[in-house]
Amino acid sequence: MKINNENGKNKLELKNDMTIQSINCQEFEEFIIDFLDSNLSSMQQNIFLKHLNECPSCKRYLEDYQKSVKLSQAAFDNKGESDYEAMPEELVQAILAARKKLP
Amino acid sequence: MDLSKKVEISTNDIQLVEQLKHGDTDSFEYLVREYGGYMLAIAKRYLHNDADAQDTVQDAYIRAFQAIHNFKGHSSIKSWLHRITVNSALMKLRANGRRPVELIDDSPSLFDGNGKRIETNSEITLSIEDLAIDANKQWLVKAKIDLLPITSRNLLLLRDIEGYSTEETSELLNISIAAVKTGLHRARQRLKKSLESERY
Repeated sequence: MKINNENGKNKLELKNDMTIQSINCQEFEEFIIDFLDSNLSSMQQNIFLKHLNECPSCKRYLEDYQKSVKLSQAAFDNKGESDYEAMPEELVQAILAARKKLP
Repeated sequence: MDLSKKVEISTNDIQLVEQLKHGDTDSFEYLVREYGGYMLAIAKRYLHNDADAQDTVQDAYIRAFQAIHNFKGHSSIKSWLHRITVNSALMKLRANGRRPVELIDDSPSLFDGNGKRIETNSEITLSIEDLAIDANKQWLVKAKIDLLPITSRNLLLLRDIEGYSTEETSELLNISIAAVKTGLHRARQRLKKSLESERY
């Protein structure tokens, strides 16, 4: 994640010294991962949420971004069915035979 | 599905590990029959054919047998085997080299000179409910993930599907935490674009 300025600090880091009050869409996007992982400080999060509330375009972007994450998780959701594959007997025997050869 | 978190090891696991450490043959067979199907399902998430997935499970068991004396009990046996399987699958992928990927629009989001987003009309029309009632839609999303570039696919699987943390993913892929974050964002963007390109 890079939003480096000339001091080598990113813009949200600079917000901790209260020098910056807002971010643009590009900066917003670069902090989505940390936002979703709850890794932003409360001050950083406030600035992030402020942009989210003021920018319909980023709001739509974030909604679809989160939707694609949820769709990928739903694709692997086995709806309570077993998450086990049938284990071929030949594979069981091959593993046990390989174990016997171990030093 | 977060098996990566540390859990208290059960009494049964403690007993099983002790028997494995003493070389008890029946316990090794139990370990294979009890968890083999689970490990095979994990391996198939990463590998495209049954033979590679089965090789991965066999490799994972060999590594587990060799490492059982180092098992510290910081996690359940299932969680421990899960991680070994993921590691073995990643090694198999590296050994297999390149594979076909979907030619999707891979450009990042567009911004004007002031960093303001340039909007497109694209949106994801597929819903979570669609996947819940239609196995074909589930398959379609899985296929989209399968066709991502390998690094993107592995990051999505590890972070969003397996539930490993950023730090754990960094260890498994041997890349920096910053690279995990940047790569995951790129992977999610790629999947988003790929899903937007379809009309359901």
